[in-house]
Amino acid sequence: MKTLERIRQAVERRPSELIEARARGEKVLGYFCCYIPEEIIDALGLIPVRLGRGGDETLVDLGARYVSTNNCVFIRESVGLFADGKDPYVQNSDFVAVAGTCIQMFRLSELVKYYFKPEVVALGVPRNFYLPEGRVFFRHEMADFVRQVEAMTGRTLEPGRLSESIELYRQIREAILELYARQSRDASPISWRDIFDVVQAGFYLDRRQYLSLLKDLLTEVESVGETAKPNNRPRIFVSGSILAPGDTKIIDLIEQLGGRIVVDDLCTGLRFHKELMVHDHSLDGLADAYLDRIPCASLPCLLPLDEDKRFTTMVQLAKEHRAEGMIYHTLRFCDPFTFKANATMKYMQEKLGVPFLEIHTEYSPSDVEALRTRVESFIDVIYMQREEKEAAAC
Amino acid sequence: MLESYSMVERDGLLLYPEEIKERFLATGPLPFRDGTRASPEEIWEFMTDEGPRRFPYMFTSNPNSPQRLPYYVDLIGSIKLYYMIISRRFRVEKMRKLGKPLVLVQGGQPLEPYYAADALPLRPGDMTELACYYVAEGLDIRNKDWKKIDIREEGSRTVSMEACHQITTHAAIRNNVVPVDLVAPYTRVRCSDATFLVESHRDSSRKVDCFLVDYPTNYAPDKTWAVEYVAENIRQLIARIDAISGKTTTADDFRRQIGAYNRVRRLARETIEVWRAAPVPPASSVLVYRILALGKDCDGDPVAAEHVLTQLRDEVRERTAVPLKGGELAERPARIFKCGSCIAINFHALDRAGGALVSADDWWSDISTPDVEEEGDIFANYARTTLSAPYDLPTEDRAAWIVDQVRMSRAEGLIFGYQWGCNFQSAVARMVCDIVQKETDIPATTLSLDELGRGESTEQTQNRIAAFVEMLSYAA
Repeated sequence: MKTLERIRQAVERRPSELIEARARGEKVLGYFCCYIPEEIIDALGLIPVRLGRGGDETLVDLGARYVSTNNCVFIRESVGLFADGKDPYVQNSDFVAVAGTCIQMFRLSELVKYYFKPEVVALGVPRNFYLPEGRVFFRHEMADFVRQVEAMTGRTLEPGRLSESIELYRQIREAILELYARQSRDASPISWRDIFDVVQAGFYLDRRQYLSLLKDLLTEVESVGETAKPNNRPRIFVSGSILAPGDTKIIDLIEQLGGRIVVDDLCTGLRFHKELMVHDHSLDGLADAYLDRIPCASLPCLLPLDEDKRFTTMVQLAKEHRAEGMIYHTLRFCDPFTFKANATMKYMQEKLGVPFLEIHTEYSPSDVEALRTRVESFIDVIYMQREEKEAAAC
Repeated sequence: MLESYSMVERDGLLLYPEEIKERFLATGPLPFRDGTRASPEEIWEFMTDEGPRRFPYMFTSNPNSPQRLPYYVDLIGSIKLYYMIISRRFRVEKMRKLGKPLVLVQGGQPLEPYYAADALPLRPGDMTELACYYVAEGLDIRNKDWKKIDIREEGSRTVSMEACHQITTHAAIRNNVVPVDLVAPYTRVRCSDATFLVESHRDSSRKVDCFLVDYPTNYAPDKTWAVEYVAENIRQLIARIDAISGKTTTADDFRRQIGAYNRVRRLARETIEVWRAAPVPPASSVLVYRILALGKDCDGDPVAAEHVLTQLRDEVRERTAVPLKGGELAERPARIFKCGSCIAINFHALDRAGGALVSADDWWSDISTPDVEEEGDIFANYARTTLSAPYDLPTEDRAAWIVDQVRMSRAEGLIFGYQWGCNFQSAVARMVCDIVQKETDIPATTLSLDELGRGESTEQTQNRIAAFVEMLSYAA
C-alpha cells in the first residue's frame, strides 16, 4: 500500500528531521514506558519520542557491563543504547522521562542518569492502582512530573494546549483502533504486521503528520476493499512482554510457519492505544485516564482474575478477533509477565479453550530452531482443532 | 562477658558447655509479649537437650554450614537470642491458637503495624524456616536442605523458575505447610519479586487473603502526598488484620508499639555503634547479622527482643572496653561492609578467611533511621520515617549514605550481594560499588548467589569471599 510506504519513508527521514528541529531550537523528550503521557510532552511544545529497541545482542552485552544479567534483556539493551550512543533517538533526546511502572525500568532511569548524564525525570506509578488512594497518589505524581519537566525545559503547560493535545491523541487512538479492527477481517488487504509497524512508527513521527498518515491509510484501506481470497491461516493472539522495535524473532517465526497474528495486547502494539480515554481535559483527568487504561503486568493486581482488566481484555480481544490460539511471549527475567504465564494459560483455557503456548526467550538467536519446532507444532495443533470442530459440526 | 567459651562438639552437634550454665542462669527469665516468661532453666534445658534432639540441623558442627552456632560463646546473651529463633515455632503455634493471625511480610520492612494489631509477622526467610520446622523435624542439615529444595522446586514449577528464593515461602503457603492467614508485605523497593509472588496467589486453590502496602519508588522529602498514601495503606493493613482477628486496633495501640520499637531500634543502634567503633570486633560476625535482625524485626517478639538486646549491648560494651576480640576471629580481621538484600553470606566462612562483618546496609538502614516521632499523627509520622530509610531511597542517595557508613565503620572492603532472580538489587550492584569505590577508595565486589537459607554447599561463595579477604590483607 502506498501509505504504508510513505510511513516507512517518513520513519527513515525522522532522525534527520529531529536534528534539524533541534538546530531550530526545538527540544526532544525521549521516554520509556507507555505510562508517560505524550499529551503533556506535546502540549509543552516538546517532541515526544519513545525510546528503547530490542533484538540486538551486541547492545545487550554492552548494557550488561552496567546492569546485571539478572535483568531483562530489554533493560540491558536499553542501557546498551545509551552506552553505545549511536541510536538516533537516544542521540537526539534532550531529556529523558521514565515511568516507574516496571521497577526494573525505574532502575534503568537511575543507571542512565548516573553513567550517561542526561537530564532524567521519573514518574511514580502506584502499585495499588485500582484503589482510590492510588488514584490520588498518581494525580499528585502527574502534577509533580509536569512541574519537573517545566523546570527542566523552562516551559509552562497551558490548559488550552493540553486540551488540544488530548484531542490530537484521541484521534490518533481512534484511527489505530479502526485499523486494528480492519486488519483482522478474513479478507483484509492489510496485515497485523503492517499495523504493528504503523503503531511503532508513531513512537517517532511528528504526531500531527502521523495522524494525517493514519487517516490516509484508512482511506486507502477502504478504497482497496477486500482481497479476492480470505486469509485462512490460523488466527493467533500475541501477548506478553514487550516486543520492542527491532525484536521480530517471534513474529517472524509465526508468519514464516503459516500463522496469522490477528491481535495483540502488547505495550508496543494495541495496548498503547486501547481504552485510554480522557474524559476530563485536565491534568487530573489525564492521570485518571492513564491509570484506568489496560494495566501493564508490571503493576501487581490483587483483584480476582475476572475483575482484572488485563485478563478480561485478553478474553474480549480474543473473541472479537476470533483468535484460535494464544502465544504468550516472555523475556527472560521479565518477572511481571513471566510470573503470570501459568495463571494466564489457565484463565484463557478456562474461558476460551484455545491452545496456549508460552515462549520464554531472549534476544539471542540461539534458540530460533527450538522455537521454530514449538511454533510449528502449535500451528499444527490449531489446524487439528479446526478439523475436530468441523468434524463435530458435520 | 570477658571470656570466650568454646562450644562442645559431640556426635556432629555443637553443644553449650556446662561451665557457662551458672552464669547463664543468673541472667534471669526471658519475658514475652503475651505476658509469659521463660525461666533461664527452661531455656538452658531447651538449648542443651530438646533443641539438639528435635532440630539437629540448627546445632550442626559442620564448620562450613552457614546456619551453625558460633564455635565460641562470646556473648552469653546470644543463648537467649538463639533460643528465640529456634523455639519460635512453639510461640507461633500458641499465639495462633489464641486467634492471632500469621502474616507474611517482606524481608527488611518495619513491622510496627503488624505487632500493633497483635499479628504474627514473619518475613519470607523466617516463614520458610517455620515450614522447615514442620517438614524437617529430627533431620540433619543436609536432609533439611533437601526438604527445603523440594518445596522450592514445586513453587518454581507453579510460578517461575526465575523467582528468587522467596518462592519457597509462597509454595509452602500454597501447599498449606504453613497456616498463613494473610499475605501483606510492603512493596518496599528493595525487592522485585515480592509483589508478583503475592499476586500469584490469585489462582491458587488455597484462597489466602492478600494485601500490598504500597511504597513509592521515587520518594523525596517534599512529597507529602507519598506520606499520605503510605499512611492510608498502613491504616488499611491494620483494618485487614483486625478483620481476621476480630480485634480493634487503635491509633494509640499503634503509638505504643512504635514506642516499643523505637526502644528496640535504639538498643540495636547502640550495640552496633559500639561494636563497629571498637578496635577489634568483640564477637563472631554472625552475631552482627543476628543483632541487626533482632533490632529490625524482633524475631517475633518486641518484648523479648528488648530484653535480649539490652543484655547483648551491655556485654558488647564490656568486651569492647577491654578490648576483647571474638574467639572465632583472626588476629587482625579485614573489616567488611555488606550491601544488598536477602544476603546472609556464610559469616563463619568469612571469619575463618580472616574477615569480620562490621555492618550491612539493608537492616541497618531502618535501625539507624531516627526514631518515629510519637506525638501527633502517628500514621503520618510512621510513613514519613519509613519512607526516609536510606536503603530504599533512589540509588544515588542510598550510595551516599553507604559511603558515610563505610567511613564510620572503618570498613576495608565492600561486598554487594544479590540472589538469583533478584532484578532490583542486582540492577544497581555495580553502580553502588562504583560510587563507594570512587568516594572511599576501598575495594568492592559483587556476588551473585543462590543459596539463602542453605545449610551446606556454599563453597563457591566461600572461595570468592576468601579471595576477596586475602586481597584485602595484601592491600593492608
